[in-house]
Amino acid sequence: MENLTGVVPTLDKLATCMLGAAMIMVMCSRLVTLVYVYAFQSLLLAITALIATFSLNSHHLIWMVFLIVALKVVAIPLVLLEITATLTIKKEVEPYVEPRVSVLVASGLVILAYYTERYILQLHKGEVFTHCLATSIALILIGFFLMISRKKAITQMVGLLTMENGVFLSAMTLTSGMPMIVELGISFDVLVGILIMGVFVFRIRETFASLDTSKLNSLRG
Amino acid sequence: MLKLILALPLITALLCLFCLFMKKGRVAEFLNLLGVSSCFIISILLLSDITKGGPKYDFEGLIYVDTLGGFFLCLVLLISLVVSIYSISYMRQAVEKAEIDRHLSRYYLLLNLFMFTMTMVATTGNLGVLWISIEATTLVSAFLVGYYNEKTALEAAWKYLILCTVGITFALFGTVLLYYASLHIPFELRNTLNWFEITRFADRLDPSLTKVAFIFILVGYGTKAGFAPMHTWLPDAHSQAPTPVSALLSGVLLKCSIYGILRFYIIASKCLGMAYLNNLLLIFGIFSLVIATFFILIQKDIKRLLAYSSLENVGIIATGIGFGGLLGVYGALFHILNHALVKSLMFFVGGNLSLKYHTKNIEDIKGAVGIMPITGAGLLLGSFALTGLPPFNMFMSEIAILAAGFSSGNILASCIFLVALVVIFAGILRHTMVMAFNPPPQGLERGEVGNWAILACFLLLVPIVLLGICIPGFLDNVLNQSVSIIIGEKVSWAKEGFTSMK
Amino acid sequence: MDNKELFIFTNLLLLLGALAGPLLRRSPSRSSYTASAFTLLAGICGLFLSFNILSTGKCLSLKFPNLIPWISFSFFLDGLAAFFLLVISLLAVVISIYSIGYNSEFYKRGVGLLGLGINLFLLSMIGVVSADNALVFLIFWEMMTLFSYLLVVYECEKEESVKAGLIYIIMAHAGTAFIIAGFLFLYRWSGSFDFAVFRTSASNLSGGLKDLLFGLFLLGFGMKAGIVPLHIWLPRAHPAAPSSVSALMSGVMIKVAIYGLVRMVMDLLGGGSLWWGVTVLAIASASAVLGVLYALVEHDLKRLLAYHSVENIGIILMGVGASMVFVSVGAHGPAGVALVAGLFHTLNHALFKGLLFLGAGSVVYSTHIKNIEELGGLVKKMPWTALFFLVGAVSICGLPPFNGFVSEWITFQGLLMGFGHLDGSVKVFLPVVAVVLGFSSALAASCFVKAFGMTFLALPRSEHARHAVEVPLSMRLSMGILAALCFLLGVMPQYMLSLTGGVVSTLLHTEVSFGSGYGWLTLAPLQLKLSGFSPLGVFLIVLAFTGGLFIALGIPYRKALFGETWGCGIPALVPRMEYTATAFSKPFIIIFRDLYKTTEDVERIASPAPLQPHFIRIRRHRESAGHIFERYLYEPLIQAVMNISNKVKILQPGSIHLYLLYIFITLIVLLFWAK
Repeated sequence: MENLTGVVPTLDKLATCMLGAAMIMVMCSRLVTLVYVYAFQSLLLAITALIATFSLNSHHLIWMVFLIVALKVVAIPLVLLEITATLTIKKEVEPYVEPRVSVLVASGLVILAYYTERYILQLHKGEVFTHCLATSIALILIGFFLMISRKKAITQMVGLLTMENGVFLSAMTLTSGMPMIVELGISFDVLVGILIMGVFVFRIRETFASLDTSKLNSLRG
Repeated sequence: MLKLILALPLITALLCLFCLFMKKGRVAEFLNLLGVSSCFIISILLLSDITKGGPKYDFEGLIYVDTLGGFFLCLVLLISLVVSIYSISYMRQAVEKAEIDRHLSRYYLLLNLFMFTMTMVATTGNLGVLWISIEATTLVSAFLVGYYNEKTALEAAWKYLILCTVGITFALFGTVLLYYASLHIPFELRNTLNWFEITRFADRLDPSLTKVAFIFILVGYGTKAGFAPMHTWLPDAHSQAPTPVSALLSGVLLKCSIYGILRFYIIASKCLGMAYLNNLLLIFGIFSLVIATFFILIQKDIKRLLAYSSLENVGIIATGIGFGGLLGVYGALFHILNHALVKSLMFFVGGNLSLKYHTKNIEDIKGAVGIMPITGAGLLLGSFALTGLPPFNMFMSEIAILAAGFSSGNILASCIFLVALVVIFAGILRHTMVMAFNPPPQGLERGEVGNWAILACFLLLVPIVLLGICIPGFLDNVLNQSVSIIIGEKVSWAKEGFTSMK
Repeated sequence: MDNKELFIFTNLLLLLGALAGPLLRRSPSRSSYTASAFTLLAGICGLFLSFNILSTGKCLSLKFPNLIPWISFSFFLDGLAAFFLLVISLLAVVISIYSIGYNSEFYKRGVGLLGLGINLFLLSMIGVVSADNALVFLIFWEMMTLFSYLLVVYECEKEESVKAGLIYIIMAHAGTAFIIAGFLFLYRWSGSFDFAVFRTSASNLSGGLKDLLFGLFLLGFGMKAGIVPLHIWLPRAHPAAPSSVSALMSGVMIKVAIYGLVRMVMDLLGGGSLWWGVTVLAIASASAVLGVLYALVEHDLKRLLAYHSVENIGIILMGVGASMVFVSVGAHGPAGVALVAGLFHTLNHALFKGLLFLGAGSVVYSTHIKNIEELGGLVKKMPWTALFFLVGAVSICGLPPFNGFVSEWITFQGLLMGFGHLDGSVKVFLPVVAVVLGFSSALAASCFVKAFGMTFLALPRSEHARHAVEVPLSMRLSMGILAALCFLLGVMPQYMLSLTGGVVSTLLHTEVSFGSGYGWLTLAPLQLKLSGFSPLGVFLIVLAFTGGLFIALGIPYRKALFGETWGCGIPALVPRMEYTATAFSKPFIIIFRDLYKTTEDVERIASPAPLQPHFIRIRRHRESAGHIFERYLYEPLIQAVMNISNKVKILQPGSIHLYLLYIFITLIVLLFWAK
């Protein structure tokens, strides 16, 4: 892996951009924007994968690039936009936690992610992808935070997808991709998962006349 | 045989799809029964082969079944078989009562896909594929949970889908971290996620990485397995799904995730030692047990009651593994089997009752022994077994786990365990005995809901009683080998100071 | 047949009887007879077996293959086990005879299940006393609970029975949890579940651990024995079951708990500190007094008997407790006497309580009434039942010439004998216990004056009682056997006492004998000439005296004159004029009102409009002797647990966001903990 040193800063920058996109997601208050930012983040992920393909000599990753572009950049955002367009009257995000506070929390999560990476994981000496790893943990945590703090079903889906982006980022860089069959399977699962969630979102909208998941609270105790 | 066991459910599913288009529900029923029963027979043959001749594998280890996997495989197919039998009665009645307007074939299609994914979990040798199949179980079963398409069913399905997917995303991250750790052992491993290969070199993994990976895995698969406090989806999903599906969810789906955790546990324990992992499992186990205790006391819905009892039993299993040692792990594995049998029986009985009384509300169900003698007897025996009374099977596993707790020195945990069991005993019998006895409400006709349902109950009752009296040599052998796999060393009863069998 | 075959045969017969019940359910009578026949045969086998072991002193050891790897399926019958086996078998024989007639009550509701239940119940009790492995013991112990529970709720359409059964099984299981904990502590320190290993390793245990184990076993077995304040299930569950089962539960099952206590504490742990015995004695005294006090105000015949079981468990435990006190100070002689007293009272109580429950069952059989206020006059309708009930009543009151007197007398001896062996406050404590014993016997006597008088004497107070008829022969026969045994053991207890003495001798490694040189004529514990007495002699003297008086007064030669009873000028005597049970117990309620915590509830219904409110038309007076333990111990406890549960419920309000937050927090906490 002698050609790594040149690539690492680039990958780091891309990762930082993904983190930035996540921060924008936390901030933004309109659903459509949220979906667009997600698509952009996925695009960054695709570029990361592309660079990793060539610099890390893991050529099977090229398939991942196509998959990510096809699914995460195009297909899933389209599905989400479709749902937003047809189903939602209020196009706001409807947060439990205000955007400004959310940004503070998200920053805290980033610090937590770095703390985890530095003091708990304690990677091998000479590991170059520490930044990417920390970023992916941060993405996972922020995505999770989005799910916790936003009421709409769609925002929960986006949060989940952000978490997945985080996992993919670390898989791309740290391990230069999982074995081929696993990668394919995971992508397939993610796609099917989103489709199924889409189906349920439609059903929920039909039955509850709302996409607000905080209203799904009849099953208690 | 390996390929066949995976292919059969898929073929059956395809045929069911065909039936769906042809609108031939009864044919799908038949095909499903045929497929599952042949799968079950094959799995038993496979397991006996494995116990004699060692693990079997195919596709470069994508499929790899050792005794532990074989045990879970048989468990999945056994419960699937009785569930299929029970489904015939239950779904026919449900269709008659217009509780569902859809075609039966759709149900059997989903059921077969669900079984396929669970079979995958038990047979794969690859940690990535393991993740994929566990995620796939969520996706398929979400449809089954939301099958009734009512408000509550949808709510339950959504919570199930979201919470479990989140959990499983953590598990994916854990898998990635472990894979990363394994990459740092060069030479022997050629970029593999096969657990049987990683296990061999697990002692050379980086400890801190493995630890964090295991935490992510535990939280991730733990969500799916229903460890408190990540269990919150469990009562909702179990109570809203059609009864046969509840039995599958409770009986085997939770166990599949535990299987996932066990695979990582085996790897991590070689690298980190048992103590830390056991403590983690113990904390989750005892916490689940305690939380379940409180909730069982106040339940009003029979299926929710059973769901919380599943939480309790998952807690018991985790505690058993956490206590460690031959008795603890053996007890936990045995308990996995016992709980699957008993809980399926209880769900079946509960389903029969709610079909008859048109309610799931415990207070409205009374006098079951008089109205439905066989179901009533099932309710009685099932609840005695479930609450751990001898001579039923769950007493045996619970006492083994408790003994392991005392002998491993976890006195406090064992005492909490014991107290929780007593309170749960009171909490469950308080409900079920009133349901079984007391004068029945007016105007209910005497009679059972269907012959297939009774057959399913009988099929479960036989092993419940028999396993409380004796553990057959074959099962003992399987469990012993599985314990050896989990603990990582050869175990035998004689070494523990127990006289050997027979 | 040797002992081993007898043992297997006994259990097989019970199993067959259990199967026969449901298999022959098409014909209720045949099913009932077959099940009873098997029980009878099994009981006879059991009797032979226990006498074999008791008389020869040869123990029986049996090992079966391990069906469950960690449970070695072994049995061991020594003297103690054989003694309890004797009690079980005896009652099994009697119950099986009784059931032939009694079961016709239940022909309409599936009598096969009753046969199944009783046979398995007996089987599990035999299993408990003969188990030689803690887990085997536990399995049979819990099966005993389970089957007795099923028998309690046999009449399952009665909500009261279901509730009683529920309280019973929950408390019994809670008790078992203590026993399990005790066994597992022993397992931790001995590495095995075998009693033999427990016995050898118990001597190495630290004092604190032994104290803990004693506490666990006392609570566990005490729950089942029905000691105060753990007795509340007993007066509910025993009356709810069919009477033959009540007789088994009261007569035998609670004794099995005594077996457990003696086996674990005195045998396996080998006795311990002084305070163990003192605690047992204190609990025993409380049980004896409170049991009989509650019985006094009880008007349900079967429940009254159940409260007397609490009392008698107290008396048995007085013997056992005193024995523990003596063992702890090394006075093995008195210890032996006291333990013999406890064991002998166990047997006696089984006999007369069985008899009384069967008598009560006969009354219920022919009247379907359990409330003694509505009975009365049955001595004319059911003379045999009345006679046998009277024998039981006299025995339980501890009056000669019946067996209750003998065992209570030995208990007194045991308690008073300690004066020379103890110092300090304990020296005074034992006589105080003896006083309590006397006091409770006196109260028991007055209670049975009420029970017998209200049930059998005077005029019938209800339609049902008026039309009562004598019960079938089999029921009379079984009661007769028990009554005869009560008398026999009352006048000639020597043989049984020597067998019991043998049991205690091996248990405590000391010589216990009751001989005094006059053979079977007299009894003298420890050959103290001062305290000897002759039961037979007493009987003969009493017989001669009353007979002499009888003849002297010329009663046999007098001609009986029949005439109307003088009614103080009132034309006809009606049952309403009789003394009632409530009135009978009123003085006790007044004297002991602080213990009963009685609540009075007076309801006045005024006359219609013009006379109102100065004229009261109806005045209802309801008085309930409160159950202090329920009110101040159990109800608050249950309430507290339910309150906590309801608070915990808030954790799951249905919000998916909160649930996600739980996962998040779990993850973060674990990550930090990992560091």
